[in-house]
Amino acid sequence: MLFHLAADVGVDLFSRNRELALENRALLDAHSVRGVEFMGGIGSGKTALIEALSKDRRCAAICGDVSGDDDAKRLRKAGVEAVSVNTGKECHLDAHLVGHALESLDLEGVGVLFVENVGNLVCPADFELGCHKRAVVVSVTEGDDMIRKHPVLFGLSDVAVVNKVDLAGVMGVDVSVLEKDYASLKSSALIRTSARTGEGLQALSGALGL
Amino acid sequence: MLEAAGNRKVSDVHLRIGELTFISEEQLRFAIRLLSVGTAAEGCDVRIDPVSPEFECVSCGHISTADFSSPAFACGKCGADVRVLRGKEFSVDKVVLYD
Ligand SMILES: Nc1nc2c(ncn2[C@@H]2O[C@H](COP(=O)(O)OP(=O)(O)O)[C@@H](O)[C@H]2O)c(=O)[nH]1
Ligand SMILES: [Mg+2]
Ligand SMILES: [Zn+2]
Ligand SMILES: [Zn+2]
Repeated sequence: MLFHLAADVGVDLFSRNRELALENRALLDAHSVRGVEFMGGIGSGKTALIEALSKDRRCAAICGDVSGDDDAKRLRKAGVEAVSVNTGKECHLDAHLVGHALESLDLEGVGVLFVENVGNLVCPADFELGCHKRAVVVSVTEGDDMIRKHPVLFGLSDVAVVNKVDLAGVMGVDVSVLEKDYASLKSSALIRTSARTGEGLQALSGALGL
Repeated sequence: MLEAAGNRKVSDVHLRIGELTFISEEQLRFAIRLLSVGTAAEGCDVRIDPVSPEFECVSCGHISTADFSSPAFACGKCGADVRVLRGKEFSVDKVVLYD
């Protein structure tokens, strides 16, 4: 059987997402908006942290969820200009969805745009959205092995947070186990927060460059 | 791509997948097998080249590697943060057709 070489096609299947992410970044930069993405586990406190961090500054938010607009509603109550993006069947946001959500936000005068990704510690890592910082959140209620189980997502994120430290005692979770796992991956420190008590929010704000 | 191939059948497809992506080789092969039924690519051989991660230190420029099972995302020399040079690829490199 004779073979005919059709093509060295070299089609990068992530390149379109990367281009759109760069467009999103350019739009944010044109309006001097700092973009911060939160990835993390379901219920780890992504929305609660955005609520807490958006006090004292003008913020906008894009909330990715499979369905509903509960998070956007909560953030609007906290004074944030928020839109929902329902991914329907998808387990992550991509730069295309975020680009469309940006069209419906007025960025004039906004200091920070928060993008809350779908609760998921896996595939969001493959899709850059164009934010300046990517943060990943887990909380003590998921146990002490979340970082060990998801090293690549933590490795690829700029900032990592363990939230709900106010509940560490009740949950019987030793936060230093998470810290040790994180230290074996990254040079920066894992940030302990409680969106409830306000612990660690200043450190988080600093790490995100807010 | 398949249009340009006319009515020739695809013999093999070469893919490159970085080990830092969350693309599962097994699941991808399964999906291609199902989706290609009735197309020129039905029954084609899927060759996958894994790309192991490579990092560059943002501080001292040291190049390091790691594997998926025990990745370290800090510079092995000075401990600073690294940026990913290789390992996030997902591309179709080559399509080979029957003559
Ligand atoms: N005790 C405590 N509860 C928290 C904290 N952060 C979030 N929660 C609660 O955990 C639940 C899930 O939080 P949410 O922000 O919706 O998580 P998301 O799914 O990651 O956005 C809510 O009931 C929050 O009030 C925290 O630091 N401490
Ligand atoms: Mg939420
Ligand atoms: Zn997924
Ligand atoms: Zn170094």
